[in-house]
Amino acid sequence: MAGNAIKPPRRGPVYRDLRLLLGVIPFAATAVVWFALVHVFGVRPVFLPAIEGIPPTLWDMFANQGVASDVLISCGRVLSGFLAAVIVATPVGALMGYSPRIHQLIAPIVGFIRYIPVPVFIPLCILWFGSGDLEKVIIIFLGAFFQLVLMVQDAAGSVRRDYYEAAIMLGAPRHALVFRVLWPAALPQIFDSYRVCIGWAWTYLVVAEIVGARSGIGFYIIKSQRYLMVPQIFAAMIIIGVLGMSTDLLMGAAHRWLFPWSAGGARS
Amino acid sequence: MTVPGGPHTGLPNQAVRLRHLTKDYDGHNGSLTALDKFSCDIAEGEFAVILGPSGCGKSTVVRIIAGLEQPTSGTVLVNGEPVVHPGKTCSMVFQSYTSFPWLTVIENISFGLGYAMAGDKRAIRERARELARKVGLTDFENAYINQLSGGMKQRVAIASALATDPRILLMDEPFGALDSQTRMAMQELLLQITEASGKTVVLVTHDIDEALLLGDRIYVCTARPGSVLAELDVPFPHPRGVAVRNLKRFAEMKFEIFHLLRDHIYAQMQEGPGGWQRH
Repeated sequence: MAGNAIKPPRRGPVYRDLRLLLGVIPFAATAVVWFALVHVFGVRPVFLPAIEGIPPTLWDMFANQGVASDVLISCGRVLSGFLAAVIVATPVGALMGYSPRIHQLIAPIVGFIRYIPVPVFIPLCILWFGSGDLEKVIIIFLGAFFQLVLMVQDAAGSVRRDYYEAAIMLGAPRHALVFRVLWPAALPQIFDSYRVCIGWAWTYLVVAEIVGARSGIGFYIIKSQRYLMVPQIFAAMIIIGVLGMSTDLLMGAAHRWLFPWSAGGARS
Repeated sequence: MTVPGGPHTGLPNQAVRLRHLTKDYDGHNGSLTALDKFSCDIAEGEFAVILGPSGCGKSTVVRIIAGLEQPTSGTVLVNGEPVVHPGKTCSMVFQSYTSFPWLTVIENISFGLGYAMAGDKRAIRERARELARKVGLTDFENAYINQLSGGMKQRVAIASALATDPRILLMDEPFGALDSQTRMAMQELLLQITEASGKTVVLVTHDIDEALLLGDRIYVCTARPGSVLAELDVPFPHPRGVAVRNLKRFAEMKFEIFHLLRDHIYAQMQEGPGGWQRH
């Protein structure tokens, strides 16, 4: 009977071994379906190359085609755009969360620009900044900043009011309310927003590198498409996926290390 | 030892004087009168309890004394000075756990110390450890707040509040969220601390037992809008312990207070939790 009892949904961590297994299943299933599509259903390689050809392709890309430099260039652009967005959005968003007046001043314009699709800025950015690294970084910055600033504002605005009152009663001056209450209280959630934001930075990177680029992993994909190098497209997608996932795991570990007191934190 | 209502230090011996405090809150769809001509005088060194049914505006009284809120009308004097904003005279223990989760126990206790005392980090740390010992948290100095039980969290809050050596300790239902056994232990601890320090305490509660156990003087409040219904002197001498609960006089006074409050509690039940008057 006990086995049939209805329980609320589980919460909390999954056992380590099970976690790994559960995480691997979709990858394995994708590989199986992919293999079957090519070898059982006979999908032509021009649409879907054989899965077993991908590792040699990857090897060839790094050994002979110098893709490593494209990857490095792309990583540099993502990091620069992301960091620029973090540096500007963090103080602006925190002040918006602290002061309703500053929020009222900035939120409408941010809300307006946020809904303009980022690719729309590409022609203007090329016109103003050329088609070099600066333009790519600015595109990533624009894509990340207007989302991030609102997430930081939300984190800063949801700091419990009674923490401020407690600090005031303990004699804290005004600047301490910002630097010793708002900042440490909101930082774990702000850091979570960074983690989400760096994912978007990768998206906007590829958007930026598809138009008017001469280097980078996005450019590599466009080039491969032009010459119908389909295995290379898949390989490049895998590279971006691996880079993104590693970044995410790294940020998750950093979260646990930086905020040991934050029980919730980010879930990976 | 504290004598009920007795002053210990110089003049003026009036620690808190409230005269005709009225507080209206304006909301989207009307206004709420939380306090109506609330008056009381609290002597230096006295343990004053503001007792009343829930939602009678008693929290507003301590928040006004603290300077966290301003009354709509009436005067507030703390040590003879009008209160305009939160000052160094008062410390506050809140019902919601307000110790900072991003700091350890010892860092929480040190938070206000850094602003209150001149001295190097070492001196601050020493003083914080002494306070941690006083509230029985020596073994948890480096624990984070979320690793502690509710009673321990409030012990941190009490130690943090005492750290700045305030003349008046304000407590807004500090044990309201605790289970009844933890609450009794905390009341005993608070008795020890306040009897030793001789500080003026203003404690808000809806718990009649708590009021009688801790207070030198009890201000019984009406249902909303809150005003003082009766002032009672608590005759039990200090040092006190939880044993006063067994006294016949304790039971009698408990009944008297309930009798005083009964109509107000029923009135509150009829009205429900809202009480907003439409404009």
